[in-house]
Amino acid sequence: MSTSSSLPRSSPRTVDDPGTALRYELMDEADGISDLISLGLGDPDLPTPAHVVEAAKAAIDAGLADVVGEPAGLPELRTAVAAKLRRENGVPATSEGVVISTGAQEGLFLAVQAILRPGDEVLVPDPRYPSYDTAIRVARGEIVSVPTYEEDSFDLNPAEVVARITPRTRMLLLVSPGNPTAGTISPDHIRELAEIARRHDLIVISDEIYEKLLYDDTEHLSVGSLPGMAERTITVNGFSKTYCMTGWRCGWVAGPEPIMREVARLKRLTSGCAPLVSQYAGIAALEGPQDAVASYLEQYSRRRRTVLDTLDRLGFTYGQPRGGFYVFLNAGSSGMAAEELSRKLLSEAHVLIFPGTGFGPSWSQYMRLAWLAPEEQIAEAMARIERCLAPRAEAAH
Amino acid sequence: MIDLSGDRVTVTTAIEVREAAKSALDAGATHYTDRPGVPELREAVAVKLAEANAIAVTPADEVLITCGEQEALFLAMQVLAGVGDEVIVTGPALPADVELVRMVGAAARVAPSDDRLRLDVEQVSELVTDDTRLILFRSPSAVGEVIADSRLDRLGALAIEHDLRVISVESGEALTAKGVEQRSIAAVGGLAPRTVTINGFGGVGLDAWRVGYLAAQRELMGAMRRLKQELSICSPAVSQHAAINAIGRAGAYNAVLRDRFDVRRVALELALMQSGLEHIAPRGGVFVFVKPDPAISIPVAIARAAEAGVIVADGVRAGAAGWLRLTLDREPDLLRHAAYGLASVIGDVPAEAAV
Repeated sequence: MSTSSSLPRSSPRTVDDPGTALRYELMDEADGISDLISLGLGDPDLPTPAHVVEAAKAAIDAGLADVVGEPAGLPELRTAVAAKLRRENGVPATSEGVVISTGAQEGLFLAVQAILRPGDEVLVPDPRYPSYDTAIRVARGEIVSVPTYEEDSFDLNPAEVVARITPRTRMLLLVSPGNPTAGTISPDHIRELAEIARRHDLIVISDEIYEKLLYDDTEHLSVGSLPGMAERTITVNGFSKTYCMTGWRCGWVAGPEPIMREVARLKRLTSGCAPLVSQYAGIAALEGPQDAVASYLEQYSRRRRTVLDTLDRLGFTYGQPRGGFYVFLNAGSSGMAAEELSRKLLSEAHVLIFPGTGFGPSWSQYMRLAWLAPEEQIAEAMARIERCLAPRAEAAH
Repeated sequence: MIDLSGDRVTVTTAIEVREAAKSALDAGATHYTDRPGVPELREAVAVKLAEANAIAVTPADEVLITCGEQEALFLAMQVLAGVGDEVIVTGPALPADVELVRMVGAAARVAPSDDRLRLDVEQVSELVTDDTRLILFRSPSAVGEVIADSRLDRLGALAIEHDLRVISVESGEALTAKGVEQRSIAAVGGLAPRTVTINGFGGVGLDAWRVGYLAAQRELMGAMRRLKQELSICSPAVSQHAAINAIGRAGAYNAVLRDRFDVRRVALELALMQSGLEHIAPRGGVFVFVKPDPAISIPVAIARAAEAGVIVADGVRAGAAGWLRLTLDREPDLLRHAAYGLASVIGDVPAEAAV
């Protein structure tokens, strides 16, 4: 039982925002709908590759999952991650410069805490996933939003970055492919941004969690591979999106060893080592066959086509989704704000799509649609949306 | 060499727990779970807290499953303390607890324990200032003292008097001697609205699986729940399913552990008494503390012990400066042997041999 008089005096520090609250409200409402098709959360519906699950089960049987390890992660996994970064990304990583985190999001949080001093400014693309803001606020840094635009398919324009650099700018955050936009930063822009970072002595955090999910010959360039960048770049990635391993909570952060030693210290204080069973699964994911990844991408490509064809027919505009598994669509063409459209689609079509306000207050015209449901459900969802909105679309024409 | 310097005890999981985890993986527990935790696990935690700790919480919004106890502690500290705040860490204090207070930007004030490494509530009281917001408290303490006597009530009264919050870490609960009464501070009158209780499943072997929990009334819970989502989204799915199976086995598991460590504790304590070494054998935890002859410094004592074939740790790692820390995670014969070995090198030294 609590009474107001016995409550502690200052209210707990909150990391609340209205966009997140709305997302929770919609999820609560969706809970009660039996034939709901959710295109909301970024949790792949596809299974973790079978050989990865088997490796985890073998580790459990051998008792390996019971033994607490170093906060920085299993040496074998750190070595595998460093090898992957050198081989696939051209990033000159060392195993000592890799820390295994409890999901990529925690890895990014730790890197931000390790680097930022109070008052440091961080350049962050807008729109973005809200956990970046939390990481920066907790470190008492200042968030400087860099706008991206639908007409550029949400590519990050180096000129917009330069225009916001001040003597207090310490860090540039790159997310490519992005969430919620699914936009990518072109290799040319990555090179320009690297040059800017070198010139202004900035640390770059590069979130590459969606790097394997690319469409239409889109190219991924890791900024940490460019000349003079290894010493100022922190690369964040994980297993969740590439290998459909969201529930395992395992990711990594890689960069210069002195920074990574501080990241490991903070990792110990924040949550200790990442779950051992998941770390053994991670070793299997990186070192085993990669054909599952190609198969996921094939399926996502078909779903993407279905979604984009429907949006085109309905007259919605959007940034080209070049990577990941989302499209950030402009709800404006429906004549409704995104929140209103989200509510309408949920109540009438039983399809859950999040409004863009969860990714920044200025995105009330946009919605993030995730194609993370089986193909027949995606087709059904698109048909329902079309039935729900077609009369309106016709009237508008 | 007998190595008694270990920080932790590895408890292996039961076969049934492993099978439950593997079945969950086969059934597709590879996705995000409900953000605050799998509902069935939150239910089980609420039942455990009600039955074993007299803490009443609703599973829906007053239990949060975390990536182990350390994440629970981080979330609570981050939300309840910040720049300009003072946090009292009751001694003996783990160095990592002090480090964590500093990590969130608050000032750590360690309340010294008494000369027998026991919680001293007077020392806590003397540290309270206008800036004090929070008490970080462990029972069993960092050295393993179980605090269930009137000091718990006095600590609670102090928190109410000065309007402080309390983080109570109770993860050593599974490893206490037989017959020792335990009490949770959240169950002390008036403390529930201001206490965050933290525990986990280390006693059933799930330490490395990274699953634990925190419980608090909903007024305190909201911000911790949101920060958890922004930090690690949810806790590992397979580990939560392992915990669902393990939580029902905790009683039987703990009884076995208790018996094993009781035998070891008694064996070591007797040998230390016979050897005439000053020592403390708390009724909880897995450590015994030994004081070298005053003429011998701790680093010298550690070096001499090693020469005699016994590796011991500096007690400062458990907040016990001036003491040596010995783990009980060895068979009784080895512990006895170690005690006699230690006595020969760090016991009473004639004045002329003092260093």
